[in-house]
Amino acid sequence: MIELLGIEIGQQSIVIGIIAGLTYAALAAGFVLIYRSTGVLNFAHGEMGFFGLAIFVMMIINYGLNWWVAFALAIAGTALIGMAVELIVVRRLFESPRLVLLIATIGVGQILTLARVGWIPDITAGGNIPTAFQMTWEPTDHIRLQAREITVLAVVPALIALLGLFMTRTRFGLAVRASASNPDTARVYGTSPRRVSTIVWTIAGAFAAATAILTAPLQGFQAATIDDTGNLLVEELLLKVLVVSLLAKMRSLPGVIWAGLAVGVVEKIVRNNVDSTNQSIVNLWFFITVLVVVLWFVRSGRQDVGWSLSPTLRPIPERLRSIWWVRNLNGIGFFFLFGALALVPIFVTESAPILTWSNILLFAMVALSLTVLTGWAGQLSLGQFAFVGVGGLATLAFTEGHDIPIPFDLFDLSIDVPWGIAVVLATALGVLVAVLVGLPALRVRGLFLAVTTLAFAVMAGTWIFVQDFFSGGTTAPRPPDRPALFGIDVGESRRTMYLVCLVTLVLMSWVVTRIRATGIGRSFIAVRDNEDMAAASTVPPGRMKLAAFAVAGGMAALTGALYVIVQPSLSPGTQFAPANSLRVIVIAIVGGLGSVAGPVLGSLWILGIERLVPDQLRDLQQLLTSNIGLLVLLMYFPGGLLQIVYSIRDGLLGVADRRLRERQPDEVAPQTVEHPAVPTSARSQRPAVDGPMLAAKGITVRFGGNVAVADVDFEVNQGELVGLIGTNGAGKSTLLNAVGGFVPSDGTVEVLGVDVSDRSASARHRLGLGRGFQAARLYPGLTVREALMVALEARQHSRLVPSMLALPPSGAYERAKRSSADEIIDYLGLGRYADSFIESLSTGTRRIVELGSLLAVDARVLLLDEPTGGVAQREAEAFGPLIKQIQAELDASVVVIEHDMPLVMSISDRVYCLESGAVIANGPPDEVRNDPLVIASYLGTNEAAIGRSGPA
Amino acid sequence: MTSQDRDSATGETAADPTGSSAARLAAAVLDEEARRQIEQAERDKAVLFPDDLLPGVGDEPMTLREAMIVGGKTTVVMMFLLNFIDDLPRAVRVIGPDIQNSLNISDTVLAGVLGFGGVALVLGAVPMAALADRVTRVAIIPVASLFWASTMALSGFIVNAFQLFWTNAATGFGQAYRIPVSNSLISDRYPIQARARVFAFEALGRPLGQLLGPLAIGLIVAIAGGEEGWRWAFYIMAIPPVLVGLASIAMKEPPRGKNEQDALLEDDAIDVEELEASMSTALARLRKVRTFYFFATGVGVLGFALIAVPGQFNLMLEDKYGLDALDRGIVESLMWIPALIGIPIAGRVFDRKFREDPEAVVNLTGALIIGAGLVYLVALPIKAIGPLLLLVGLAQALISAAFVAAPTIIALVAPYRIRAQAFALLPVFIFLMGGFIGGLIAGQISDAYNNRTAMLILAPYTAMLGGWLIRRGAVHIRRDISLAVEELLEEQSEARKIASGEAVPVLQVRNLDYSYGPVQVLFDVEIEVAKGEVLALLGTNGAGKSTLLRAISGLGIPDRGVVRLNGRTITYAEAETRFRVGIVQLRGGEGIFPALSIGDNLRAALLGKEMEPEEVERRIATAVETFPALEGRLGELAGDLSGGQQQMLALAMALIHEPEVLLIDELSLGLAPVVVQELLEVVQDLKARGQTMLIVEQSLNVALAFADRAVFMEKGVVRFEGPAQELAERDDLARAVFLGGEGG
Repeated sequence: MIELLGIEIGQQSIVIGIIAGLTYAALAAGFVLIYRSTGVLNFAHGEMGFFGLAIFVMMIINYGLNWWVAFALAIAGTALIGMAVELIVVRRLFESPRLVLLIATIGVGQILTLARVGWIPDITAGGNIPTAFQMTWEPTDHIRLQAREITVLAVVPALIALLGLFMTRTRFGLAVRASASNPDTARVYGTSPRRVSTIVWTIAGAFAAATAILTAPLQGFQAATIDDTGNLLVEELLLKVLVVSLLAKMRSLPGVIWAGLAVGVVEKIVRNNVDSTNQSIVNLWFFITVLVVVLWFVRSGRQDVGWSLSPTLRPIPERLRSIWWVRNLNGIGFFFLFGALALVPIFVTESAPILTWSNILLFAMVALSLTVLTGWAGQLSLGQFAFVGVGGLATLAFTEGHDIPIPFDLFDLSIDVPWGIAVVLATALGVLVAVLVGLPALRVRGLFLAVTTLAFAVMAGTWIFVQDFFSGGTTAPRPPDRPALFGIDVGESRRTMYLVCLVTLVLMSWVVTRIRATGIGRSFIAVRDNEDMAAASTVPPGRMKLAAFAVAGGMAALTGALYVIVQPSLSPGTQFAPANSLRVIVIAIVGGLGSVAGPVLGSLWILGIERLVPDQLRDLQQLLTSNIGLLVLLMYFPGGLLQIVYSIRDGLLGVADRRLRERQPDEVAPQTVEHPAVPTSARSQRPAVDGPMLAAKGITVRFGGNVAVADVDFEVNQGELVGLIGTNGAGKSTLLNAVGGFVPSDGTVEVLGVDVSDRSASARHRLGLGRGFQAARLYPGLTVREALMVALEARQHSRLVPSMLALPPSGAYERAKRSSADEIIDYLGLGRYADSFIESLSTGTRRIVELGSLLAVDARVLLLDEPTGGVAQREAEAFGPLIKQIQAELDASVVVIEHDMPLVMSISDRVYCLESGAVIANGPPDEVRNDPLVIASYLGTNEAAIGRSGPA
Repeated sequence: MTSQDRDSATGETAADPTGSSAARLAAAVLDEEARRQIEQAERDKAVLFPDDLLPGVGDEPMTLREAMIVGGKTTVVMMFLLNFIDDLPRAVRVIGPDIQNSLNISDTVLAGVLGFGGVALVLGAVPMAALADRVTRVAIIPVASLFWASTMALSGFIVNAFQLFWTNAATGFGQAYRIPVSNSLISDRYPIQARARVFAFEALGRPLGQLLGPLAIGLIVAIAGGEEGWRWAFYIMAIPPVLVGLASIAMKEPPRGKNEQDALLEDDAIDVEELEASMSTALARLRKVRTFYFFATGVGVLGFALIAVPGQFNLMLEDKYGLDALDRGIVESLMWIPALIGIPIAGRVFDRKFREDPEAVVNLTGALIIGAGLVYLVALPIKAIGPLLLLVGLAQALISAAFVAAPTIIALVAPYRIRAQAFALLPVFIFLMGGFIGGLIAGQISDAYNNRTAMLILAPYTAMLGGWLIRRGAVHIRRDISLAVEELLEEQSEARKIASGEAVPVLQVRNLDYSYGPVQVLFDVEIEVAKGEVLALLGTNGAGKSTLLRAISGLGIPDRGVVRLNGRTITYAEAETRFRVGIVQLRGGEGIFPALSIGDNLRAALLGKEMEPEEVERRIATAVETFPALEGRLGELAGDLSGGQQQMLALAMALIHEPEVLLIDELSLGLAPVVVQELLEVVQDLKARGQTMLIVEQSLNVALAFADRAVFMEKGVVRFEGPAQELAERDDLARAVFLGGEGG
């Protein structure tokens, strides 16, 4: 027994910690194996293992098989399950965004749970989980080890080492690593990534079973309950596995062992040193560890190429807008949907069913928060119901005047307010908590919010909700009596409560509709589709994602305030558990992610069918609403139920179109619009600048050991058009990225005389940088007009709260943006594509839209990366004058990366030539063109070719 | 692109003269977008052939007798017999109650066991079809027939449900070959003009089998009598497949695609060699055949009615009308009589319609199925047994008639090399989409209410929806047939060239169309690379150069057209397979595995071939010799190398093999001139050794340094093909080459 800084560390606890750590490591190794080989966060990993464990226990206890035989059979069986999962689900979603696969694995996990509980015959005897042998070992006086512990000590490191050797030393391991690193290149060298994926999932299945069987005896599971416990990979364990995996950077197998040992030992020591009644505080520490790990260890991943699960709602063609029902189609839809819901209390009078109906609305509200977060901002929360809990219990606390915990008990504080105010406070608390939980994960790209929210949910369920402030000092907080709002007795009857829920849902839907219709919603989608482009439009990606999560957290908390008064009884540990959060995700997807009506439809489907379908069809209903249904939807109808509604809508529009054509056979002549010479509205005051508009000094960018840009000085003067030439890979784009703040770099950057070296990309662009990207991807999920309106955020940032509540100045801002966007559309003649989705446009048109965005941003220094890239010769010819025109229009300075020698030489005032990350020439076009270094590096020595590369 | 966009785009293609000057300049680009959309719409129409080029359309009528003179009687008679006995294993459901009593098993267990036989039948069809597309089809028939005859006989000996499960599943699997094999044999044996008639003749086997099978089984059980009488049904019913299987040895294998060839070609067709299409690429290709796509979906939806009705109807006859097994057998048999009348008529009508207008065939098929839905709607509520049976029989007849057209349509639109797989997909759609889910739902509803309600909820509407979906495919049929015809004509002309002794190009691409989703990026591309030749592929960004390489190396499956290696068609082979036959692609900028060490990169490049470890090391050593920059750095992470070194490594990985043809994407991409010089030396060295190469380049200079010939592409279209020097002298094109960037 050692004592260190007041912490007791015992030998036994270290050994037990090591063993627990090895358990985590074993689970994490399987998790990492899948992630590393296929990029999937496999939430079904634990369930696969427990399925194997259940078969194993069944074979030994029910059929009396030998331990080793059962072990082998269970591993083989689970390997087959892994293979089946890959062939049926993963393969089908092979090209899908990883978010979809993550959700699919959740579905798979739940189906496996159902299968384990439902299909595996009852285990006939109780007792411990069998071990391979029996023995006790006492290496020292303080340490006493049993067979189950010895097994783990001996076998788990060996298993992980074997896996590691397999990955690094065998041909197959090489194939796995190669196809993970670059699947298409693996294919052209004869290695099939799909086959590799199948084999990896098979191995992962076997590995999961082996781990589960070896470690289960340690986790206190009883044989008899293995086949009927609802969820065996309890979230607490999953959380530890995630921490270990993250510490191992999701890839290193030796790292998994070290991280596992560290987590296990530290946890054990901490547990030994905290009060036995306050053990759940360990989960708080885990949560904090997750936040810290995500903050320190996680670097931005690759962004999924613009994806969307949302059913796309086609814009209504302009000429059909003359028909009133077409114009108001959405409104009519909502009217009928909510109207039908309002009629429910008339037909349903009994208290139990009306409770179900209220819950349908409540779940719809939480799912609606995912519309904002997942559907638009592209992030996933696995702990949405924890926010419901925070909101609900906080409402109780504020109405009952629970003591608010103050650090070090400096003073006493309690708030005791009427219910209505308590709801507002609770919602605000939800927003605050969301900001704290979201901050570390949302600053980087990737799906790490899923991890931190899961950690939060586990911590909330076990620790937060038992704190006195939330629980009021009792184990089962009671719903408040008869809360009142504006003199309405909300708690009067279940029907009143239902109606209050409905009104709240309608209001929430309205708010969410507002968000989507304003700059905030557009910015969310822009950030999801293209973070860099959004930042270049001065929309800060991290902050927008955080805003989306804050809105979602607030909505969930507000729902919570109603949730606690609707439920007949409260048990925070289960009601706000991750299981319900998963259910909400299912609801959102089934309904149609990213839509306003989808959550209501999804909730009606998942929770309501049992009310609508007669009792005789209960099995059918369970089949339809189970996760099998979710998986089928993900695989075949990713747009959910709303996709069906939208096809009906498209059909109606088609009918309207045909009828309109019959009545007015002649096309309405396109209106001739007076094109304004310049789109000037809302132009900001331009500060006068002395000296260069853009000055970069000593810019150096390193990728790994490779220096992409080496100590480059770069200057652009007022009104100048600077060409940037050089071979591909010379570092031109990287230089612009460094200037724009998209890649970390050494050196200083001054924009309009302001040193911006420490500022973020969006902040730099707010000063007047404008950026055109090489790929011209823009935002696939937005229309041309919307994309321009995102860029107009640079002139006038939309404000979150006014936008949500339609308060001034949001209306004026929107009108201003719309008219500015229309001016730009007219200015560039984009009218016919104004309502087309960017997705459907060719590169050339996107480049025009991108130039329009630069006008919208009102940029003073334009950085254009191959503005004619992907555009054919005769179209490209227009770009030179067009860039000149826009430059004059904006009175801006321009930097152009271009390979089109005639173009760049004809429009540039000055040209830089880069080679291998360094400037080799800088001067007027003619001078640079004749510079021997440039000729050797870039133009080549072929006289004919150089002659041809001059102006035509 | 939505239709309204296209509409408005066609409305105003010229620049608006009143616009700002920026708008005028932008119009140069935006008009191009409009033009692109119009061109794409027109290209869709462009592949429509006139009627006289569509096989069978507008031909002289031909009777069944004449068709049999041309194609012989054996095939169709054998197929008829196979179809006739095909349903015997399922006819045992009439003795289901006997089996249940004898084995003491429940309804659900029996239904599950028999249902799994159906699943095996369907799931087996796809691999069997893949087999049928490769090997001699007539050889499959006797083997499979004897197999399922034996499993059938074994079913007579079972003592528990578990054994029945296995014998029944094995029987199902043994029969899985029939639909793909039989349909593709008939398509290849009998002339197009009379195909629907022949299929109708073959189709008659099924109702006849349905008519007589249960009757015979009922009789056998009645005669055998006793608790165990049902066993005799299995023993005796194993005899017909043995007889038919033995008789089928008399059949001869027809050449694949023969009738289409005969209809289109003056001379005899020449046999063409092809690299096998994998199942997944065959499916990917079939998805792009729009008629087939709609047909399969429609039939899948129809499956709800098709599978749920017979089972439920049988149960209803038992429960509501109190018919015993024998009576039900008789009733079920009699209900097939309308179909027996309908099918031959359908054969004649479809043949006639097809000669006039193939679209009408699809439309009529859909209409018949919609009609069946309507009849179900009227029939199912009727309580009186007489009219009920008559009308349900009528609906059955309408569907059977519609199904006469199915193989006719599919035979014409599916590329003939993967025809059997196309045939096999139909039952997959019927059983898995409609059948499986439909069966489950029907069971649930009938448990909750009754069989009649279950049928009424499921059958009429799904049939109507299915019919409607099929009709939606009609507008595409001309295009799909045209594409199939074009493929065949091209192939034959090519084969003729080879036969006449002309030099076969190592690599050949013909009529290639390629799209990413709705956006088409390659249009009718043709290129050839002769042995030892170096071809430079030049073009602007987005011209489709890299996409073309993807289609050649197999990373993408084209919508239309062929890719050949040494005269062998590889269009539908997977990238992995193409690598094995000698296509190696260096993927520009992405040719390495950045997360692996240099040594592992080289080793990973060799994974696709079985090789001794010493050989691997020897080749790696050779590669390092060629590129000294890699020497002593095998342990370094490839991702940390500079762009030039990565490209060298990629080249080293490609050169570690001795490919038939080497595809290099963006050779000089991002490389310093010195490095380009070095690479050029390697390429020139390779050229001197006679390596055939196709190199995508963006620099005309570099291209001129190594290329014999150049192809210049713009916007997915080949604009120039000829000696490289000639391209350099073409001012209009060569200037554009300098626009090049990366990708393409």
